[in-house]
Parts: sequence; structure tokens; C-alpha cells
Amino acid sequence: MRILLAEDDLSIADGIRASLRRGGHAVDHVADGGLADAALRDHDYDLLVLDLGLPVLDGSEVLHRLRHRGKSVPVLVVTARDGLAERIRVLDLGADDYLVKPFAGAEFEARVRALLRRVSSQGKPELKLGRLRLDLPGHRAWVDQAPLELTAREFGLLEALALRVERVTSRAQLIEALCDWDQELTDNGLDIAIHRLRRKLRGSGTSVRTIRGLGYLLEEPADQAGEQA
Amino acid sequence: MNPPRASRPSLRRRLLAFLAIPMAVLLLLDALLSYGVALTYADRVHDRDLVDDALTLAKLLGSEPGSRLTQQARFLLEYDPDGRDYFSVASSRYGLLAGDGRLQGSLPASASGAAPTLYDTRLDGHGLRAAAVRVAAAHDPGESLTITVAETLHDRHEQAREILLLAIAMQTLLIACVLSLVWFGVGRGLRVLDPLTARLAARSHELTPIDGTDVPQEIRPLTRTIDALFGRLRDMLALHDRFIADAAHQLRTPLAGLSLQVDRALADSPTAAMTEALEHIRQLTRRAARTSSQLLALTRAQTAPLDDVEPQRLDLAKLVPEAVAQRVHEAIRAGVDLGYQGPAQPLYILGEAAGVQDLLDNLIDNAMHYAGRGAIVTVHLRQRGDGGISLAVEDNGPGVPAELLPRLSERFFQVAGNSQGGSGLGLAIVQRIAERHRAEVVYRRGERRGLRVDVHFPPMPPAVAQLG
Repeated sequence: MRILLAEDDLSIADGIRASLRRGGHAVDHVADGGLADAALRDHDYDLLVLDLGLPVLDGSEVLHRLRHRGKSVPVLVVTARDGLAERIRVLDLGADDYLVKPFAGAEFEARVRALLRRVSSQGKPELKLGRLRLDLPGHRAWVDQAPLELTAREFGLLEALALRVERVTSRAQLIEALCDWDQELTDNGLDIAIHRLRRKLRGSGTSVRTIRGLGYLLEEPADQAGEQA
Repeated sequence: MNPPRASRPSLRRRLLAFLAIPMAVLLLLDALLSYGVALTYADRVHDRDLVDDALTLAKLLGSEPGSRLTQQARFLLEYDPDGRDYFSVASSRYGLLAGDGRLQGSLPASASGAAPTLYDTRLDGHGLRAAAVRVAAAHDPGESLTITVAETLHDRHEQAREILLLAIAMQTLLIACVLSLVWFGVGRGLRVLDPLTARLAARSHELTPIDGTDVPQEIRPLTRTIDALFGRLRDMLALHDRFIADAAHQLRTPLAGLSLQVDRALADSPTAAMTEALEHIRQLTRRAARTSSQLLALTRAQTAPLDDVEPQRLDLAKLVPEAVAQRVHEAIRAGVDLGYQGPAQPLYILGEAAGVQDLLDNLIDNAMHYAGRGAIVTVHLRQRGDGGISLAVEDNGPGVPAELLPRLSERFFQVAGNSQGGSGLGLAIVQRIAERHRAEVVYRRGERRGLRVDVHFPPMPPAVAQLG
């Protein structure tokens, strides 16, 4: 994946670049807003990592111009500015995610993974989570090369969880998402579906974690690796 | 320490002193005046009595045959138990007939005719008041008798003194009454300050103007000065907070760089010793990052009182699980089982979303930090009997000794022996934000062990509850 990094602090840029390269991505780095804007005009990127406090042209302006041109490239904003109002403002400008400095490397990598996953699901309608691969229109799934036999309900559940990966999905959200597949889904029905999905995901490296009182979280192998660190 | 009571200015003492000195002077003047008036009246009465005596005696003598006083008349005249009365009867023809001749000599030359004459004289070293009357002798029209009656001034002075003493006693009593009325009146009058005092006592960190309808006119200059002082203090605190916020912001970028570079170094497979050192650096960076975020949250919590930011109706049943969900990844990485328990129906409070989020974040930080890996942290939300809402964060960690629970909200307070590297700011932030929401923070032991922090939000004011 090709990623544009717009960050004026060189040591941060250097760290982020190293992190992204470790993840196997190609990184172009620019240190001011004008260059970022120009680069975004000239090339198609899969992801923009944008610092808001850029010289020459403010990060918000870069973002505004990008969206104004109708580009849907995912944007991860990194900023030192905290606070709910700032978060809302940045998301309103068209950012896809928001990370406040300083952040843990693992957190940054997870956000990048989630944003890039969305790209591939938009480009080719396919989702990749570690060894797990989902063909969204075809309702089919594979672990490595081996097909995973899932019912429509189980696939719907996995898809709903996978699309919100890195975020907790509440039971209400799952029930709503599954209404397309099933006219009625009871609480009990959801429990059973999750139980079955878990059994089928065993060995795939991906698992469904219950978050007490909040819902479910699809965990990738990378998350579990992070846990051991 | 306060200076001793006596050296402070006192309204009471000032008022009393202000009244007491002029009143004492007035008392003195009044006494002199009373004495003078009493003496004048006593003089008038005694003079009339003297004249009466002289006339009575003259009548008696004038009707007596011969110019000799009868035994009875002499007894009458000479009866003087106090020795203060004098008399004389002198004939124009025979000289002194009876009494004290010395009285005759002092008769003023003008005293003539039948009208009684009153005059002052001296005898035996005493001042005397005398009345003289001249009548024709009954048996001999050619002979005239001069009757003089005199008395010392003692009686009249005595009477005036009695009146004076009475007046002094009365007036002293009056002054005492006035002064004690002032004493109690000042106390009573100052009670008009009680509502204002109570209002100010209820403040914790507010620096808004204190002027209001309960401020008495007389102390408005004082409250205005205090308000001006509050204003300067607010500006100073705002500047101070802005400085902290700027500093914390400035710290974030280098910390982010440090954190990323450490990750990078760790990823480039260094030696075991270096890995250990880098892990330490990573932990320390995380701690510094957390402290800078908390300093920012603290300044946010302090600068704007809730009234300034226009509180909104917040559905905690929606906001709280979302805020908890944002912390799930971090909890998983820290090996903490973070969960939530709350009702499905909306629970509204009047507040500020960012504040509630800061509050909750700090409670979760605190619980995860001190309960440690393997702990269970649960956020509870429920409606209370009084219509208020209780937000609680409970952990099953080691907890806090009961005697230290009340100290938890102090800034920088840390349980001794706890070297896990918290900044000590978290619960102070919680306290500040709770105060701004008029919420009460209660620290207690968790159900089995650990710490449970309850934040009791007050019920919504009915007017707002009906909106929307």
C-alpha cells in the first residue's frame, strides 16, 4: 500500500515511516501542507497520515481541499490537540480517524490496518483479517486457502464485526445488521450465532472477544501479539 | 494564623467608642444644667418660704401689744433644730428687740417700705439667704419694726444635689441601655450578611462576581472590590492554566516522537539488555504522556465553570458505554477485563460531554493503573431513588486503606508505597469535574475488595427535564 505522510516534526515522521515500512507499506513523506496538497493532486494514495499543525498550508485546509476534489482516500489525522470539540471538528472535516499525540506505536498500527482494510473492501470488495479473507458480495470466507463454511447468519455476523474491526460492536448493532438476513433475531438467537461463529473461527487466528456489557470485538492475531508485548 | 482578636478592628467597639465619649460629655453637661435648674427651683421655693416666714412673723409682731415678743413667738422663731435658721426683729426706736443683731447690719440700704426684700449675706462663714420686711408697730404708728429671717444655703444645695444624683443615675442607666442596644444591634444588624456569607461559603472554586440582591448597600463597595480582585485572579488563573495547557501541548509532540522511536528501536531486534532498557523508556514515555493529558484535562476542568459553557442534556446511557468502548483496546493490551453495566433506557443529566468523558477516562485510568494486570474493572450506571444518576467505576485490585479514602481527591496525593507511577492528578480531575456538575464523589471499598468510586449526579432541574 502507498501511504502519504504529512508531518513536519522530523523525528515523529521518521518513527511513523519506520513503523509503516515495517508493515510493508511504501511511504512518501512531506513536511509541509503545500507539498502534501501537491502530492495528493499528483498521485493516488491508499492512505493519508496527516498532522494538523503543518507549516505553509494547515492540515485542515489540506483535508478540506482533498475532500473538495471528491477524493475518498482514507485520512488518519494525528494531532497534539485534544478535546471532544477538536475531535468532532476534525471528523466533520472528513477525516476517517483521529489519533492524539502521543500515541503508542501499536495503537497507530492498528488504526492504519483498520483504515487500509476499508480501502480494500471498497476497491475489491474483499476483507482481509490476518489469515482470514472475506468475499463480501459472494458471502464466502477462507482461512488461508481453505474455505470456511458459514451460514448466511454467521457470515453476516462476521461481516458486521469485521467492518467495525478495532471497534466494539454492541449487541443492538449486531441484531440490526442481521435484520437483513433474518426477519427476527432474538437475544438468544444472537448468542447461538456467536457461539457457532466462534467455534468455526477456532484455529483461524481471529477470534470474537466478549466485552462485558458493551458487545463484541473481532480480534486479529496482531492484537493478540500486542497483548503479549 | 489569625492575629489575636483584640488587635483587630471591631465594628462594635468602634461604634461604642464613637457613642460613649460624646455621651459622657453630654451626661456631664446635662448634670451641670440639671444642677443649675434644680438650684433655681429650690431657690424659688425656699425664697418664697422665707418671705412667708418673714411676713407671718411681721403679722404676729404687728398685732402684739408692745414691742416685746411673747414667749410663744420667741419659741416659734427660735425653734431651729438644725441651727441653720436665723432671725432678728429690730425696732426703729428701740433697736434690736430679739434674735441675732448681726443680721441687721447686712440689710441693704435699698430695703425699705412694706415689700419684703430678699438678699444674700454671710454669717459665721456661711452664705445666707435673708428676707426682710418692715412693718409699723401696732401700738405706735411712729415706730417701725424690721423683721429679718435668714437661712443657710445648705437645704437648697442639698435638694439640688438630690435632684442631680437622681438625674445622673437615670442618665447613666439610659446610656447603659443605649450602649447595650448598640452592642446587640450591631450583632443583629450584621445578620443581614448571613445569606451572603452562606452563599460564599457554599463556593468552592468559583470566582464569579459575588454581587447580588442579598448584598447590603453599605458593603457594596467592599464586594465590588472583591469582585474586581476575583476578576484579576480569574485572569491570572486563566493565564496560568493556558501556560500549563501550552506546556502540555508542547510536550506531546516530542513524546510522540520518543514513543515512535522507541518502538522502532525495539522492532529492530536489539540485544536483550537493550530491549529491557527500551521497554523501560517506553513505560516512562507512556507515563509522561498520561501526565500531560491529565494536566490538560485538569486545566480544562478548572478554567471554565459549568455555567459558562452552557450545559447540555446528556444521555449517559449512550455516552458512557461509548466512552468505555473507546478504552477497550487499551484495557486488552493492559490485560484488564473492562466491562460496563447499565440500563438500556436513556439516563439524562445536565452537563458537558467533554467533562464527563474526562471524568470517566480518569476513573478508568485510575482503576486500570492501580488494579493492574488481570484485574476486572466495571463501569456501572444506574438511576438513583432521588432521580439522580450514579456513575461508578469499580475494580477488584488491592484497594485503598479506609483511612486514606478521604484524601484520594487531593491533587498529587498518592497512596504511600505505591510506586506504580501514577501522576496523582487523576482523582483531582475527577473531583473538579464532579464539582462543576454539582455531583458528589464517594470513595469506598469495592464489593469484595478493590476500590469503588461513585459519582452521584443530581437530578435534572424539572424545567430542563421536560425539554426535547
